[in-house]
Amino acid sequence: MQLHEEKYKDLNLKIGLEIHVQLKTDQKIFCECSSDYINSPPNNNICPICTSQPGSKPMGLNEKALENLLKIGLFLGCKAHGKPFYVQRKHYFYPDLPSNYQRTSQPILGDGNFMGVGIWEIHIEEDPGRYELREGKVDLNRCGVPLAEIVTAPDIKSPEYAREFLRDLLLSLEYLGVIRGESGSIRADVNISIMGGNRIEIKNVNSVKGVYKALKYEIVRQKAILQRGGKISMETRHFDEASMITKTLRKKETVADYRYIPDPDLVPIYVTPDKISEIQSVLPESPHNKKKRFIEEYSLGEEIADALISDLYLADLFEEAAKNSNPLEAGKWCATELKRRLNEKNLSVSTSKITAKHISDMLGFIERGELSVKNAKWIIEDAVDTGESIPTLMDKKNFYQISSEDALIKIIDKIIEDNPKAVSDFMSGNQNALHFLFGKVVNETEGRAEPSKTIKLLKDKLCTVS
Amino acid sequence: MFTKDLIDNLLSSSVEEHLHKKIEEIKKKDKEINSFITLGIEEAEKKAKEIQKKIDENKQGKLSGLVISIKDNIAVSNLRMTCGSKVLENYIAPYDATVTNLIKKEDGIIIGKCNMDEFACGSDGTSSYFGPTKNPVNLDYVPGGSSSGSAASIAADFSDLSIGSDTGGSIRCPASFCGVYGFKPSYGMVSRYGLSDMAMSLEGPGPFAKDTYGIALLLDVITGKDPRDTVTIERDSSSYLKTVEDFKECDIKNLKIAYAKEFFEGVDEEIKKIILDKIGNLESHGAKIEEVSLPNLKYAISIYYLVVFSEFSSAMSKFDGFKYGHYSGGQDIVEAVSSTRETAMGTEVKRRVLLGTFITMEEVRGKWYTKALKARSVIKDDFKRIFNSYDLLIGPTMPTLPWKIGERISDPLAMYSADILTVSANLAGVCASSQPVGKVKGLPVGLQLHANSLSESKLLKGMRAVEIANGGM
Amino acid sequence: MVETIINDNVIERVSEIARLKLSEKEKEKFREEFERILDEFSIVDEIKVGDKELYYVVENVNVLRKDSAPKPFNKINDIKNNFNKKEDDYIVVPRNL
Repeated sequence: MQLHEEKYKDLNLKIGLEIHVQLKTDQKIFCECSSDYINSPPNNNICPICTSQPGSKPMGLNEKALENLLKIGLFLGCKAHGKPFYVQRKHYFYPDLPSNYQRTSQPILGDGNFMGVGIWEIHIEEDPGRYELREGKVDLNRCGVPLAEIVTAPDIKSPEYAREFLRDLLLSLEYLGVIRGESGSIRADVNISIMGGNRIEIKNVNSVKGVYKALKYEIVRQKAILQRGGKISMETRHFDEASMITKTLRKKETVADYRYIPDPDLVPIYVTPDKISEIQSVLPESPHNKKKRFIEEYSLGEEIADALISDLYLADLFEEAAKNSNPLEAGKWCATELKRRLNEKNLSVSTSKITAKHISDMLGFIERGELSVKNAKWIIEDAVDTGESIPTLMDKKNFYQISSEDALIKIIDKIIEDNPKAVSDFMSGNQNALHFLFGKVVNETEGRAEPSKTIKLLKDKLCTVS
Repeated sequence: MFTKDLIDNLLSSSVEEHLHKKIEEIKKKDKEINSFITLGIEEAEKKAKEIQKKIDENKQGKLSGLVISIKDNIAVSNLRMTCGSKVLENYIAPYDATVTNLIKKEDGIIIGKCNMDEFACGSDGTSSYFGPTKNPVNLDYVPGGSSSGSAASIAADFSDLSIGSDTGGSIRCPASFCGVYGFKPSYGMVSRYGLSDMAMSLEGPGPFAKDTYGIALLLDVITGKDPRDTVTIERDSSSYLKTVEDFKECDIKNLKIAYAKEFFEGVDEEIKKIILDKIGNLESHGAKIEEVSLPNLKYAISIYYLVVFSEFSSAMSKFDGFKYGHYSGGQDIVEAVSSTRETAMGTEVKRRVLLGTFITMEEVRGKWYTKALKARSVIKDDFKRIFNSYDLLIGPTMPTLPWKIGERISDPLAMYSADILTVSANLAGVCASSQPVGKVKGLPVGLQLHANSLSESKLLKGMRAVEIANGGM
Repeated sequence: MVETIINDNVIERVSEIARLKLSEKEKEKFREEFERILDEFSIVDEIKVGDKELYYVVENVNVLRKDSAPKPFNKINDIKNNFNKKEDDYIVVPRNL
């Protein structure tokens, strides 16, 4: 069951995404310009090929771009198609597209799954430049940066799940080391249909938050139309970041015949089974396999395992911590408290200061009775924020519990001596007196007496008093 | 061998003098002939001085200061590259084509950019925005196209060698009409990087010269695998020049030559006579001559033009006026682009763009685009079959003599049909050549040879054989 | 020979997609020519063809390029000099409001 799926059950939501991510390479996809264009002044990261000068031809496809794309596909459980693919020309006129066609390949891999959502296909294409509509300015620096397009099945059932899906997908891709760009920034075309009606396409949404907002808006908008007795007709819309609403695109632009032809300048590409095996062998463990292994190796519960694998950095941190502490405890704390804190602060393991040592140290203190569970929750929050070591934090916050028998016995002896009436009450069978005496110990130690040990020692002492 | 003598001469006299003679000829006669759109005299003179120094130290490249003209759809940096069109009237190429680079490296002197049919859409040299080129052999007649200026510059002695491009006969046709040598290399032998695309799967640059030696010399320079064009193929290491030099009269009897009866249907009687005569010459020298059939020749023009239209409309989409070229402006991005393209493109160009757009549209592409591509393999297989048993295919280059300037402009189908004997080579990707073998009414007749893909050596041997059997050179 | 009907709608739509602002005269001329030309070329229907389209005449496959340190183009200004309308190095085009 997906997050919040229940909430939208009556609407029979079908949401699919076409996600564009920039592949991490040094050079652009068909030329030798740098693919790191962000800091370049306008139109200074260009060459005859990516500006489509007359006579220019694409060079061979960037091998690293293809490899990174294959990594993505295999990581998401896709299979290669086993036959050569072409790069095609997709024709449409637009100022940010120098050739007025975009080079985009046929599907290279397909039939995968991520977080319960089917991955239909993945293909490679070139990024166009930037056209600032309102100012009438074009910058071609970005032309030719390699993109992977990931097309999902319409298996997403809520805007909330779409957001979570995208966040986790981007985290995974970052973890793989195959994409460039800040983790919040993606470009997605969003497809949604409600109640079995026509599909609405929302083009070019530029952030994860935008995808969420666009979907929320669309649901409201479409519901209103249906309630009025209207029908939803298939159309393409545009998401306005400023006002957080979707708007219809001009009718003209929605009827597109791209007249695809295989690009005669680029010979077919065949990804051999050997190449697939080679890449598979250097891939980090897929989320699916990691989950299986966590359950088997560490006896983690399924829910805990799911929570860990949704952030692969978190999963790594857990495993590192599990080397020096009880895996079940480590798993529990990472999957619940730590994850919660990170989400609250909108951080991930990689952007916060938490480390595996924090977790294993903390668990050690808990196990030795020097840190109460209640206080441990505060410690985690501080560790996430400041990164200071657990002992340092324990000192600062005065969290050290007393659990050494000698220390406790000394205090217990003192309390027993100072409270003879309570002692005799207990001897005559009054259990409340035990709690009274326990409370005294707690007060004496400013709350730092380790509770269960204290009770036990107190009982023992009382029994030896005669 | 004319070109060989030319080089020997250059090495013993003066490169600058040779260049200046050419410049004088151009100044005197090109106003009439109109074979050049842009001249690069300053740069050429500079290069001549450099090359002379190299010759004095015996360090010169293969081209040793020969004067070379280049079709205006091939990039030479800092020179205009107009493609014969108003679209690129003021466009200065910011880079060198691969063939340009190779020629410069081997010390060829590039003298200027040659006139051509607009964006290579034509077979007679009369559709350039910069005015028609005239046939130097008889100024009233067309020089052929689309590499009209390249062929004319050789015939008029404005340059020693020239580079053109051949999509469906655009080198061989003007070579035939102007009475010079023209060679269409196998697809993939010469890099297309820097050649303005017209029909990407059919075209490529190729040499013009006054003899087989000159063709082979230039071929050695411009062929080879290029990372800037992924369709290029590794060629073998043998020298084409050596192949030509080593070929002797006694080698003619080793040639197995086919001629297709379909190649003679609808051809002028006078032309047929000359070609058959030359075939007879080869036979009397011992070559084996046999008749074969190309049963699908009658479909060649249709298949060819359907492929051309589709690829051309794609190639032309880059011309929106924003980044380069003519720009009309407009109130929105659709209007600006539409009026820019409308005002700048000539009629034939527009015709092909519209047709190409139409036949690749979703609802009709199965009938036209896809069908043509399936039919293309039929032509390729026909040639494969012939070259299994024969070294060469021989026949005329053009079905008619050059026509008078202005005679054929109006009807596109009439223009298209002129290519009937040349388009098949491009559809199949094989190499083919045209060489002058006689005149009718003072107008040149060209003989065409085909050889299998990547068999440039065989083709050059055939050309040399015709030269020798003709009693010349 | 198959009869090819090209009507005004077709020419209108094709010229829009191809971004060519044709005059009325041109539209009629091209319409008539298209019918004739495509009629002539529909002879390809006669050919017995296989299933495969011939997209590439050469047999190269897998021409990939090794990723390495970028090689910036050395004549970027020459490219920019061909821009029709420039402002602060941006290409200026009509706005789309």
